[in-house]
Amino acid sequence: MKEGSKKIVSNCIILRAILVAFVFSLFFSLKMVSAKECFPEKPTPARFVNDLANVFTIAQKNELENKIGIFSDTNSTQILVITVSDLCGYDKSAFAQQIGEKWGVGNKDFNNGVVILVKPKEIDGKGEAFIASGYGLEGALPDAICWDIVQNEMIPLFKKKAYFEGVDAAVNIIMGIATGEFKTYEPDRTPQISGLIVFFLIIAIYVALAVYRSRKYGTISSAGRRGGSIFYGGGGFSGGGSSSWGGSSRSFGGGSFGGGGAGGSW
Amino acid sequence: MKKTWITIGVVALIVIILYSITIGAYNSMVEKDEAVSGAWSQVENVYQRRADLIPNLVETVKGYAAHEKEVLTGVVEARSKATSVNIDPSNLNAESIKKFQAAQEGISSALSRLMVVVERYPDLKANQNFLQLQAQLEGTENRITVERQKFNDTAKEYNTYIRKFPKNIIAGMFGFEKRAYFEAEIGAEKAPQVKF
Repeated sequence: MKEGSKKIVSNCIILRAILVAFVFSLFFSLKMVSAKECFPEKPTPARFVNDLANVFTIAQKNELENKIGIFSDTNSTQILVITVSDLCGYDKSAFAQQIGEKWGVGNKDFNNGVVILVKPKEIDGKGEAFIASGYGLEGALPDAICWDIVQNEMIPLFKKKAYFEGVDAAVNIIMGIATGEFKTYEPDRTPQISGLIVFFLIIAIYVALAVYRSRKYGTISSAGRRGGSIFYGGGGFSGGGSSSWGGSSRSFGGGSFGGGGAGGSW
Repeated sequence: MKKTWITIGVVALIVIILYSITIGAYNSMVEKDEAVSGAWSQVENVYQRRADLIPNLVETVKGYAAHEKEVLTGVVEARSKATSVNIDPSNLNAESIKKFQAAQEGISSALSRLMVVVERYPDLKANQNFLQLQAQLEGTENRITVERQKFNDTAKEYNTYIRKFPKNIIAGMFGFEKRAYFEAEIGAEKAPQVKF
C-alpha cells in the first residue's frame, strides 16, 4: 500500500514537471517571437511606474508605485506611468495606445487602464505628454478631460522640469475620476476556489478508490498505475489554479485600448 | 474474427478523430469570422463618432468664422454623404470597403480644409470649447487608426487560419471565404514626387 502510493506520487511529480517544462518552453518561445527592438518590453513583475527616461528619484518612484498599486487593489483601475526618451518613431498617441494594449493595462473585463506617457523635453526637440484611456474608461475620462489634464495640470509643471509633481497631479485627478466608476470591485476568486475544491475532491476520490481496491484485491500495483494517470489529470488542474491564485504581487490585467485620450507638447 | 474487430475499431477511431477535428476547426472558423464582423462594427462605430462630432464643431466655428460658408457646407455635405454609406458585416468585400473608405475620406479632406481655415482666426483657436472639440476630433482620428488596424489584424488572423492546410479543405466545404482588408489611404500608396 505505502510503496504503491509512493510510486504514484513520484510518477505524478515527474509528469507534472514535464508538463510545467513544456508549458514554460511554449511560453518563452512565444515571447521571443513577439519581441521588438526599440519598443519597451513589458516589465516582469508588473510595474506601474516605468521611468525609462530617468526623471524621478527612487523615493518618488516608490511613492508613486505604492499609491497606484494600492489604488489598483481596491478599484481595479490600473494607471501606468511611463517616461521615455524615444518614441521609436511612433506618434505619442499611438505609442501610449500600444503600451496599454500590448502590456494589457487595466482589468480584462472592464478595460479600465490608463497610460500616462511623458517624453521629457531635451535640449533639442519637444517635450510630449499623452494620457491614453482604455475602452472602459472612455466614458469617465473622455478626450476633452485628458486634454484638460495634460494642458492645465501637467505641462505647466513640466515646463519647470517638475516631472514628478506633474505626473502626480495627473494621477491624483484620474484616481478621483475613476473612484466613482469602478467602486466596489471584488477580485473574481470563486472559480479558483471551486477549482481547488474539485482538485481536492479528485484526490479524495482517487485515494478512497485506491484504498478500497487495495483492500479488496490486496494489491495496488495495476490499479495504482492506472490511477496515476487520473492523478496526473488532476495535477494539471491544480497547476493552472495555483498559478493564478498567486501571491500579493500585482500584474497587468489584460485591458484593451482603442486609441482614446489626448495629449500635448511643450 | 479478432482482426475484423480491430479494423472496425481503428476505422471508428479515425472517423471519430476526423469528426472532432472538423468540428473544432469549424467552430474556430465561426469564432474568428464573428471576430472580424465585430471588428468591423467597431470601425463603423469610430467613424460614426467622428460624424457625431461634426455638427458641434461646425456650430462652434460658425460663431467665429460665419463667412467661411463654402468650407463649412463642404464639411456638412461630406458628413451626410458618408453617413449614408453603411455596410453590413456579412457583406464585407474589397469593393464595399473601398466605397465606405472613399465616403469617409470625403469627411477627412473636408475637415482638413476646415482646419486650415481655422488657422486664420486666433480668437477661435483660443476658444476653450473649440480646443476641446479639437482634442476630441484628434482622439477620434486616433481611434479610427486603431480600429482599422485591429480590423486588419483580425481579418488577417482569420484568413491565415482558413487558408492553411488542412483547414482550407474544411473552410471550402463550409463556404468560409477570405475577408478583405482595409487598404492604406487612397493616394497614400503613391510615392511623393520630388521636383527640382
